[in-house]
Amino acid sequence: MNIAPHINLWLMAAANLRRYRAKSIAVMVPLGLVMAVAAFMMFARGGFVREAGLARVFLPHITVQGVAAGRVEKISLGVMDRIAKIPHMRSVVPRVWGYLPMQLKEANVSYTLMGLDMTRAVYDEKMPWTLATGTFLVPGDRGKVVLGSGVARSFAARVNDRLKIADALGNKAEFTVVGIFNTAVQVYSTDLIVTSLEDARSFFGYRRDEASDLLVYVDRPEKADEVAWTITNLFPNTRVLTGKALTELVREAFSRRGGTFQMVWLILLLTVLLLVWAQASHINVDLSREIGVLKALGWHTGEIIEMKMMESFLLGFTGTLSGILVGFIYVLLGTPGLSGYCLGCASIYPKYPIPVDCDFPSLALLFILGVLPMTAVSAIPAWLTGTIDPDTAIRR
Amino acid sequence: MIRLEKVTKKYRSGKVMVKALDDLSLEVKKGEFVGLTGPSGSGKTTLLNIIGCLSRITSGRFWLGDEEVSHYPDHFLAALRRERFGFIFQQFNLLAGYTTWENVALPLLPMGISEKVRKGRAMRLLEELHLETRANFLANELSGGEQQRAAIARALINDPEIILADEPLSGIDGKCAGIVVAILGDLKERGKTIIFSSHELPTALATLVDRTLACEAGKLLGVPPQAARR
Repeated sequence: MNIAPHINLWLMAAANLRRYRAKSIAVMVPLGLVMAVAAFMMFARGGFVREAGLARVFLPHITVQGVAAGRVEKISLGVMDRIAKIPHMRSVVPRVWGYLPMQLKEANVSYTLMGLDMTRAVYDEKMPWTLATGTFLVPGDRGKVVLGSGVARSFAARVNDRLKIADALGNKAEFTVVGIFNTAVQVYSTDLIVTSLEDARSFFGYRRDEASDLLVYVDRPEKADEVAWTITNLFPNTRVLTGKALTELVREAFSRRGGTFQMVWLILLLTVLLLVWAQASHINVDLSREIGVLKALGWHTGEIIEMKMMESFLLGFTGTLSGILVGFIYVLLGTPGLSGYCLGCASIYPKYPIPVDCDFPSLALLFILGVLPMTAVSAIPAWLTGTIDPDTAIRR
Repeated sequence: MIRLEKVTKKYRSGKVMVKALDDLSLEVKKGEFVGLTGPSGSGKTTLLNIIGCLSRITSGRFWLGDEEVSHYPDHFLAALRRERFGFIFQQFNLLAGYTTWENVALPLLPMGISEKVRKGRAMRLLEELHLETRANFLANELSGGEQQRAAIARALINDPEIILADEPLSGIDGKCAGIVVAILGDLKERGKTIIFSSHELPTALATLVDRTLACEAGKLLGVPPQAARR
């Protein structure tokens, strides 16, 4: 196969972008902007989904909450022994947690103080990786905390610093910071202040036989649903949530089925289609004449279509690539202006940058969206004009 | 070399069907210099377009050499246009965004010839036509006469055996017309077959033409007897 004619056609197509630069810019700039937003959406979605996956190391196989009149209440530790006797059980860990509104520190921002029974806690082998600095709590620790990255940032706290907290009722406590969570799991941990069960009980005024909920660990994760079903049957006045369901909840909120994502994606798709339509309807007198002249000079219809498709491909590719780069730079700059909107209710937590993740499928999807319709649509009018007699095309 | 037999060409203009060529027959020999004259709408340009394979006949038969090309598929016609014809349009039909030399070299591009060779061949022709100083000008920056010469250069870039020129002297000044006539004379000397159209036979071309055929309402007058008999 002689590739030289094709190279000439492709080079001419590339040169045409410069020749008709006003037209090229008119297509490339809006396409680039649309693709920048689309890229930002894709990268942010990827980031949230990835973090949801990483945050599984924090999640127990099952969480059991007490329920009274359909509302979540404290749970009595009296159920712990009966749960512990269910087959496949590994550990049942009481947890006490509550919110700390910190109006004095930052308006409308709450932190979560969480106390764990460190003698029973079960940790994923990846848990140490979730810490950016310091160590996690060990059994017997009192007056010590591990902070989420947002909390650490708000208080400018470092390991070994003293941290003073207070709630709206005036309850106060002071802790030593022993560790700070990694920002890679910030969606889950940014607002967390993790301490011992005893310290949390003391702060929130829980009795020794009470907890906010129970974290249940099974010996085989695939048995989690079966165990959850057994707990539900044994204790109808509890709410039983599996870790898998909670992870899926986060994943779905930001996945392609997520409402916000779907709406924005739909708008972007429509915008690209509008651009493509505008490009297609650019088959005007000038283009028709150009195609007619090229045919009159002995160009084959296939050669004209190849050149026009390459022109549109380069236009779409350049616009999409520029858009993706702009989106990427915007993300690197910390998504100024948009993070508050995108994080939604998470804005009551300490501010944190939107997590991003850029993978091959996302990039491929962006290029398909930006390049394929643009290339395909140019073939149709070029073919339609290319198949009529040259003199008719010139005279149009 | 070129033979048309009882050729009819109809096309739609709005809601009206127009008969541009009406049962027309013609034979042109290799190396002949033929002028087609007649008023606007008489079918001169349509006839040139048919001969140049830019348009298809509605009925009749059309031979190019020994080949009957009336029903050739599109890609064969494109190959004929590329290899055997040079077409000089009345409106020049240069592409506005391209430089003069790029316009001249356009027919060579899909043949896989490198830019260096294309430019070299275009520059040689532009020099012959005294247009070398305009080689890097955009087509729309050229005067009418310069555009005509660039269009001629483009028609000659493939060294075609048949030159078709639609109103080659219209819209250009006397000096440019002189250059164009000289070029056509030179092409005739080199044995090219040339067919041109014009409202009237220009005096400058009168000494060059072998035959003048008058077009009227899609028919030819003054057709040689041997073609009419077929």
